[in-house]
Amino acid sequence: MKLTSTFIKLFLLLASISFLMTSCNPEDPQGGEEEITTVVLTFSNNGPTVTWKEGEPTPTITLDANTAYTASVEFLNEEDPNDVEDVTAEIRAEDDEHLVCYEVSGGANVTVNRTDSDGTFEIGLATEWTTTDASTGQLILKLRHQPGVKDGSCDVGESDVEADFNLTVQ
Amino acid sequence: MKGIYSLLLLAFGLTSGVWAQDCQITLSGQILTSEDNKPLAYASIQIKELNQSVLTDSTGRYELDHICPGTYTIVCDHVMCDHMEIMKEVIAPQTEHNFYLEAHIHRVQEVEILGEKVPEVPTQAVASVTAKELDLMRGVQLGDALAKLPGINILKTGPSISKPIIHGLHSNRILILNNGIRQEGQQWGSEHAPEIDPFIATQLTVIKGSNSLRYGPGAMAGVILVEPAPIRLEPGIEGKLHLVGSSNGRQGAISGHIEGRSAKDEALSWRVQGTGRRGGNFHTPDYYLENTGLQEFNTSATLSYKKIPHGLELYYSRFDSKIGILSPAHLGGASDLERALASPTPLGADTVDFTYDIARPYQRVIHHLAKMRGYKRVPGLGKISATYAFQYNYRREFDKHRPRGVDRDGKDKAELDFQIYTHTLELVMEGTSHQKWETTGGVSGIYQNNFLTGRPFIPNYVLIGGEAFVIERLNLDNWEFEAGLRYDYRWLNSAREIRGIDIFTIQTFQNVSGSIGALYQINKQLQARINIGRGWRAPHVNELYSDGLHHGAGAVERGDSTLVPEAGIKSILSFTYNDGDKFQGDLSIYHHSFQNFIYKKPGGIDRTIRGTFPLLIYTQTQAQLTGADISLSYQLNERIQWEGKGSYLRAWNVTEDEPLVFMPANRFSQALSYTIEEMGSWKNTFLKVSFQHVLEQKNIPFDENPEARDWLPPPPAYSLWGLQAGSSLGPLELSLTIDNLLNIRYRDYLNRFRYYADELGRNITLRANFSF
Repeated sequence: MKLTSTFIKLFLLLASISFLMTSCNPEDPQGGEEEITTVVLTFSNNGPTVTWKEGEPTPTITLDANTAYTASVEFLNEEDPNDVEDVTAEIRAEDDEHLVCYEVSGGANVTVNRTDSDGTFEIGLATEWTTTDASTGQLILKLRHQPGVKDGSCDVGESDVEADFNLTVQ
Repeated sequence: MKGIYSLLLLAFGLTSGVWAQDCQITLSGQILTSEDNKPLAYASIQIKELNQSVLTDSTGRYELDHICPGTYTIVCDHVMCDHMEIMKEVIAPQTEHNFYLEAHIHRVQEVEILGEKVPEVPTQAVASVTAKELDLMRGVQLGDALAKLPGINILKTGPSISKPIIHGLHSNRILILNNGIRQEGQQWGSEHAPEIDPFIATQLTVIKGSNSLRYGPGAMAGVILVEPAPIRLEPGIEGKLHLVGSSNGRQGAISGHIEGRSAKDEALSWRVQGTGRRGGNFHTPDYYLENTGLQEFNTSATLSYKKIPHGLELYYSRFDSKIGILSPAHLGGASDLERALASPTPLGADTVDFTYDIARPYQRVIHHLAKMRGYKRVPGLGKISATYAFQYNYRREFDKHRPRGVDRDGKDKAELDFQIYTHTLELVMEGTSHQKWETTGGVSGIYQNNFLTGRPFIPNYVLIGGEAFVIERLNLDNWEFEAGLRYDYRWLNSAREIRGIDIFTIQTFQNVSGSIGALYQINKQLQARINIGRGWRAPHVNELYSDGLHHGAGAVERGDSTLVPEAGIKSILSFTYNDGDKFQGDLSIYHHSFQNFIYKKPGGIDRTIRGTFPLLIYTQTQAQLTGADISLSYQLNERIQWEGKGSYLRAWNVTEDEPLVFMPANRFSQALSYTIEEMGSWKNTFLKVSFQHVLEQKNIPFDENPEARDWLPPPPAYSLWGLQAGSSLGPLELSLTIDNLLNIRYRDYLNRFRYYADELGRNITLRANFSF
């Protein structure tokens, strides 16, 4: 019987420890990791500001023919509309791990060149866009996350962002 | 383990105060069964020191006379009961003493208590992996060990994550009882393997019925019992050591246990057990699979205080694993997926070498189980047991790249971090028999708490549940009937954050389920069983609320908060034939009819920040699963045995009038073994050749746009050869196993990484088991 009471004491100890372990508030919603929900492209030279938002239809970038623009891209987290976070600064701080790629397709007469550098390779947050004749097509903007493998190409790493745009040159 | 259970008894010795004259003492009384005080006729009773013995009469009475005063060893034996030896002081001239023997049938129950084995439901179709078979498979995962049974398949995510599938269903539709406790982890995920060390088990049993009644809701397809050996009941110490080495993955495992029974306090037993397992990159016939190493370290301890009328047991186990995930299968954006699918080998496979290092992406899972169980036999009521268990499951999934915004020198943070706490309390009364009737019943409660941090996937929640069940059995000569009822209540409070707003949702679910069954002994060789059961389960939070991109699956999964509980009626008819000599066979035919079967329905394309992905929405349908399992063995002669197994399944989505996706393909296997029972001091030396053929899964839904359903069509049929040899020398057992003998290149439909990589190539495993 002495043994039994020892067992019971052990059990109570065990049970109280385990309850203590669960004593944090169970009703807190999960904390979200930083995500990107919005991509904003801003063009100089009276060019447009085009916003890609998760869940919204594909936006169109309308540019003038035979024109050169400088453009910048911003990545935002608008998960909480009252607390919009600019993720661009983080990407810039880790610029040796990131590359923004601009893939033009469908016959749009647009060339995009990256104009910034992490010291070794381009980053792509700042770009120069050159248009020629009027045309239409598509653009896929990719934010490639390439920690430790960045080699200037878009193939390595994986995509944190793949946003699609329609392109119109008029 | 094996053994003689020297059990003790209760002494109701009535001693009078009269002192004995020399050597004129008469010792008399009855020998009774300890369980229900029934007299045992023709039991032998012996005074060892005097070599004096008699048999009891038909009323269980005995009388031994002309005994001198003193303390003697009394030995009792009965064909139906355990051998018993006890020290007894004999002083009074007329000593009346009853001895209680434990009947074998009760011993079986004792074993069950110690192993926490819940009594099998006799009308269900049951299949087991025995201790002997398990010893030839040590070092493999739980799912892979079970896959040897007909009707059991495995759902894999690469080479080191496997989950059992019973009759086409898995995850939330299967219950796993780990040493008697319902495993509560994150079992909903198809890449979440059971957090159980298979080395703790000496038997794996699958009950292939919709037997929710005894074990809890959720056992739609069946129940898997992971059963440790019963603890040692005689004084002394014993143990076993397992050593396993495999060529593929250069995997090594060591596991052992030591157990003992105290000589001082005869009721106290203990056991400690531990397992370590480590493997590196696995190899297909052509290339290494990048980052597929694994590490596992598990421990468990048991302390048991056990007497016949009452007992207590404490059990604790810790499971800890780190599993590397095939890097090329972890995808970022849609274009990564396209590149991976277009490549015939995993991207970068030609540059991968062997390593034990595990890099991102990987999983780290820790599971603690602490359990306390006490029982008391109450005359006329049966055995009442109370079990409290606490489980803490800590699961972390690390994506390929460390998340943005985390300090470079900062901690290695997980992108998905699940912590689930479960408390369960169960009160069960079993084996109350009134002549031919036997009743088992119980109530239990569950309190569960889930926390998730990281990338939002499923909500946090609190689950409170209450359950009650009763099962009634009637035993007649050739017939056995069984009927049961069960009630479940579930209260679920989930908390989500949507666009900065906290949303709390409270849902309640309740249901009554039931089953009826019969067993008929047609003749000495043939037995038929039928069981019809209605199972039920509440939708899980992942089905209600998940919303996000599944990196491994390359699809967006979206829950539906309006889902209602799913219910299924499963009918199984099974036949067991054993001619007692050469031929043995099992056949089971089943039909499972579902209402509100929850599955993932293709819902078009979802545009996400990572590109466009197929969208899968949790939906409900009417479904029918029909199948059959067969298993045969024939002893051709003294040394050669043939075995054959096969399973067939047809799964139909009635509402959509099309096959259900991701169902196991039909398969059959054969084996021929040659055994020499004795060869000098070598015993049970055998050589076994096996062959398995898995057909192509052709029953898949047709779609004009097949990619909306599945990224790639099911892989072609494949055949595998295997070879096994083994022998034992005293306490040492040695065996050699070669899987995929011909180093065949193949892919399996139910491996979630079949889109990227082949299955494993040849694997040579050497095993040694040493008992002491």
